[in-house]
Amino acid sequence: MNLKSLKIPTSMKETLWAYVFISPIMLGFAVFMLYPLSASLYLSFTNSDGITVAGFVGFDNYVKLMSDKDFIKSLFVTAYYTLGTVPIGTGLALIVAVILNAKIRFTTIYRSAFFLPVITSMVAVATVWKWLYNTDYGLINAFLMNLGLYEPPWLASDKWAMPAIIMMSIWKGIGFNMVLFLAGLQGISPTIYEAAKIDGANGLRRFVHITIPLLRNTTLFVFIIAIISSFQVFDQVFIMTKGGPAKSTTVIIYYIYQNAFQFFKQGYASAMGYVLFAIIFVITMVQLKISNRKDVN
Amino acid sequence: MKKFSLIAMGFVLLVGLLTGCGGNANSTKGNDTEPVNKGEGNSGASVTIKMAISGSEQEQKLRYETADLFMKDHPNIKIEWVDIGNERYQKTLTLISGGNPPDILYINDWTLPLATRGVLMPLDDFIKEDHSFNLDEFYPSIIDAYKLDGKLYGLPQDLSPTVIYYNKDLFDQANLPYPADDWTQDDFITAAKKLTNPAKKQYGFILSTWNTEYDGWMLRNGASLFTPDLKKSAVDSPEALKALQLLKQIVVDDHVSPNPAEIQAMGQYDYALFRNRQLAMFSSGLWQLPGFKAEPLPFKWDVVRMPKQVNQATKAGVLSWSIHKDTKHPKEAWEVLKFFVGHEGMKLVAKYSMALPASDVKEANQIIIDSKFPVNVKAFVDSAPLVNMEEFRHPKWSELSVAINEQLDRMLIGNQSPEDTQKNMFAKMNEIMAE
Repeated sequence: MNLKSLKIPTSMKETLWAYVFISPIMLGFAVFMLYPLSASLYLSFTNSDGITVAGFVGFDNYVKLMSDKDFIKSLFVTAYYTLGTVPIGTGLALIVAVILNAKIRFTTIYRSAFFLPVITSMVAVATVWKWLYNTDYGLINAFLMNLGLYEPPWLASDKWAMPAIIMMSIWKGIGFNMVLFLAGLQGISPTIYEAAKIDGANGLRRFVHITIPLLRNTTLFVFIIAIISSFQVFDQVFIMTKGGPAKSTTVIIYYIYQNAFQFFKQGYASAMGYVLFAIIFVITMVQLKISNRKDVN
Repeated sequence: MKKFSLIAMGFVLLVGLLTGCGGNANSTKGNDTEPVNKGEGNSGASVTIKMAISGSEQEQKLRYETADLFMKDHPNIKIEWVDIGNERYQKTLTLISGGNPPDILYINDWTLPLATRGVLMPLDDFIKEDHSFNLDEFYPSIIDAYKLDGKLYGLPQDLSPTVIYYNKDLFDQANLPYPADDWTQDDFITAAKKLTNPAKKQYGFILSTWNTEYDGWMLRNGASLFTPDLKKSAVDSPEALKALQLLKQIVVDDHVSPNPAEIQAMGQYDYALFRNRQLAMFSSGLWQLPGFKAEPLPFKWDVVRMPKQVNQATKAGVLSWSIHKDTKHPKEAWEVLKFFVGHEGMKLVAKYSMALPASDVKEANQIIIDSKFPVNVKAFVDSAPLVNMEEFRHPKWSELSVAINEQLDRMLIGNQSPEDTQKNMFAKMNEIMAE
């Protein structure tokens, strides 16, 4: 068909071409995001097992979730992980960013070193750390032994497994947050620091009264992203502990995975997925609200 | 503009869905109509049976060889392999829910979950009509594990009963006599204690977290996981408590075996520890033999049956086949299946010595016994009739298994008494089974 013969106005034609150009990404979004999202929303109201024809059960799955002790436990385990990784991880990333923002030698090398874990696959990282944590041959305990310190049983214990995973995850994620903070730091005008210097403010005061307040938006963004991804933690648990010992590291996504792919409960697992979505949504909303209020003040 | 964008997006979606679904439906139909019309007996026609395959290179070679032998006899049937990799269960589920499953499925312990969901074809009619096939040659306890409501949904190919591998040199050093096939649980405990040496980081035994080895210890002590009607848990029995106390003794009190968390943290498989002389005994199936043959162990070793208590039951690694209910060629699929689990197929299994043939075919078992690798390889053959895979019979086994393992973990790490473990396990199992 000849487009010219249709006498489409130029603006319309441009729009049409725009849609043609974005169609690959839209198609990808539709197939890999929109369709799975709506399908799992539908599944969450069924008793689907992934094989037989699913029956509609209304809100049964959601009601059942409220009294599922394992689900509630997995929420607490996830919260533990979040509380362990987000504040410490963000704080360390900020400190590292400030140090690497200063004019010291070899900054590029240091920055790359901190960023390297981020681009490494989690599976590879988790496998290596599993060896580091090995109680008999692991590097970490060998080091502690030489110092004559207590050697924790790490992944072998239901008390130490989660701290071990948290430490590894902080190390893995620090580079990503660092880059965000660095970008934020570059955006702060050096003149402000100079003015403060002339007024006699020392390094610490400049950090507390200039850097931190002016980085607020970056910090908020880092916090939100960090919390969202910490609620979705899965890979390292799957590789390092399989949710054990005694479910001490069964985080919510791992529990969803078990239900969907081991217990034939895809409907139930989808409902959990949407509860998780709701939780993350609420937390993010609250964070945004709090930060807005500060703006008003 | 907004309207236009909506229409555009709707169109894009629709196209996506149509091409996705339409393509699929067409291809399956296109493949199938043709051979069905030609039917069997017509030597020119060719039917393709898709069969799942998995496992080591060695195992796959065994399947290829069996298939080649079959296709030589049946030129009208072609076997096409579908590799399901290492995550067998997930891959199988994906193939099934994707609507393009193999005709013959490779199954380890999930026959019943699939049968319950109507995915598998009952084999009873084939067996009734086909007089060249004799179900009595199979071990009844295994066959029963593939039955749902009296109908049979799978046939086993390989059976690998677990026995105890032991290091003779370490027995000599500890001045212990080598165990005999009729040894008892007490003999075992005594030996394991003497063979444990914390200074050398040497354990007497390893209570395997693999599969359901723990259930072997329960069964041998007269306990079982379910009531006979499979309606409730049976772990509230005094026998089960005794078995749990025994496991705790092995792992916690005597600590002749590392606990599950230590095993996980060591990150080394039992066979590697055994090879390094850090482990005097471990329970495992025949699948260790090819490795031990290819790279001989640096010490004298042998195998012995699991120690006897009330009985000498044992667990096993089992591979079975099932036919997908929607196969377009049920007759041909049965022919393939029958050949694989028949005498010819079983003799090939024995030849590769990775597992026992899953039926009691004397000539095939004799091949294993004659291999004399290791000396007492007969222990595997003798254990076969006593294999008890009771967990196969429950459709919700995967979920029950996670619940049981959690309680066992607690006990074996030393955080929970056998009494509480029994109580929690019983409650949790019943909760899942009642759903």
